[in-house]
Amino acid sequence: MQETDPELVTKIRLGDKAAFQELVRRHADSLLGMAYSLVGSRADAEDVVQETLIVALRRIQSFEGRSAVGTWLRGILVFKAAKLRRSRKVRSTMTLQDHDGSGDAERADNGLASRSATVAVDSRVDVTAMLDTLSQEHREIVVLRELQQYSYEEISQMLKIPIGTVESRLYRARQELRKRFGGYTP
Amino acid sequence: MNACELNSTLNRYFDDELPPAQRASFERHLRDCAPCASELEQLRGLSCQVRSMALPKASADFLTRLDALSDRVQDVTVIRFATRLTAAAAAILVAATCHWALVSRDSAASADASSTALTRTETAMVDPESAVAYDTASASAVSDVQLDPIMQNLSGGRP
Repeated sequence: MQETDPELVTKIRLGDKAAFQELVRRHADSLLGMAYSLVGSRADAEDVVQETLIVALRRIQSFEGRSAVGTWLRGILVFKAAKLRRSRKVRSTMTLQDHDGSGDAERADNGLASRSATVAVDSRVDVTAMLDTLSQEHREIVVLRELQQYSYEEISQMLKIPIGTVESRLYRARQELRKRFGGYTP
Repeated sequence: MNACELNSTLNRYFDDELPPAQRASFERHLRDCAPCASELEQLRGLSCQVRSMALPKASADFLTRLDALSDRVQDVTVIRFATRLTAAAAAILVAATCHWALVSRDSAASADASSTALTRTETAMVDPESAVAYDTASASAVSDVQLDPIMQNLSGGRP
C-alpha cells in the first residue's frame, strides 16, 4: 500500500532518504509546472523547485501538518519564485543600463526579455508571454487560482494575506489581463 | 467591469466562492443582466486561455538532481539531534541561572539583614533622631539614660 505524504514526512524526519525521493517523485511535476508558470523559464523553474525542496528539508522538523504536504511545498515555492523574480528584475534593470547590447542576448537566452504588452493575441496566444506582462503579485494570484485552482482561503493562507486582498488582487489581475488580451477568442 | 451593482459578486461566482443561496440568487440575476452575463463569458474565456498553458514535466536528469538532495536528509536528523541537545542545554542553563540567582538573593538578604542591624545600631549610637525615624522600635529600646551622655558629647557639652 502506498504511503501517504504525512507518513513520508515522518520517515524523512528519521533520516529515510528513500522516503524523500518518493515524496520528490510524487510532487516533482506539479512543482515544476507551478514554478514554470511563476517564473516563465524552465531553467529558473528547476532552480526554484530545487531551492524549495532544500528549504522544505530544512524546515521539515517544524512542519505541523496543518495543511497538506503539497500545499506546504507550494507555499514555499511561491516565495522562492518571488525571490527569484525580484533578483531577476534587479539583474534585468542592471543589464538594461548597459548600453553595449550584451544584455539583450542574456535576456533572450533566459527567456526573460520584458515582453511588450502588445503581444500578438490570437488563438495561439503565448500564455507565458501573457503572464510575463503582469506584476509579480498579479501573476502569483492568477497562477494560484487559474492553474492551481486553489480556493480564496487556501491562497490567503499560502500568501499570508486576508481573503479580501486575495479577491481584490485577483479582480485587478483579471482586469489587467482582459484589458491587454481581451480581444482573443478562446 | 460593468455598471451593474452586482458586478463585484461576479468573480466570486465564477470562482465558486459564493454560498449556495447567494449563488442561486446570482444565477437568477445573470438571466436578466446582459452586462454581467457578457463579462462572465469573458472571464471564462480568459481562464480557459490561462489553463491552456503548456507546463513542463520533470526530466529524468532533473529528477536525478533532485534525488541527490536526499543526502541532506542525514543533515536533517543531525539538526534534529542538535536542536534537542541545544534545547536541553538551554533548559539546564536557565535552571542553573535561576538557582544561582535565588541562592545569591538569599545570601544577599542575610548579609543585608546583618548589615542593616549593625548600621542601625551604629546610627543609633551616633544619631538617635535618625534612628527613631528609621526604626522606632529599636530607638525606643535605647533608654534616655544611655542617650544623654552621647547627646551631650556630640553637642560639645560636658558629660
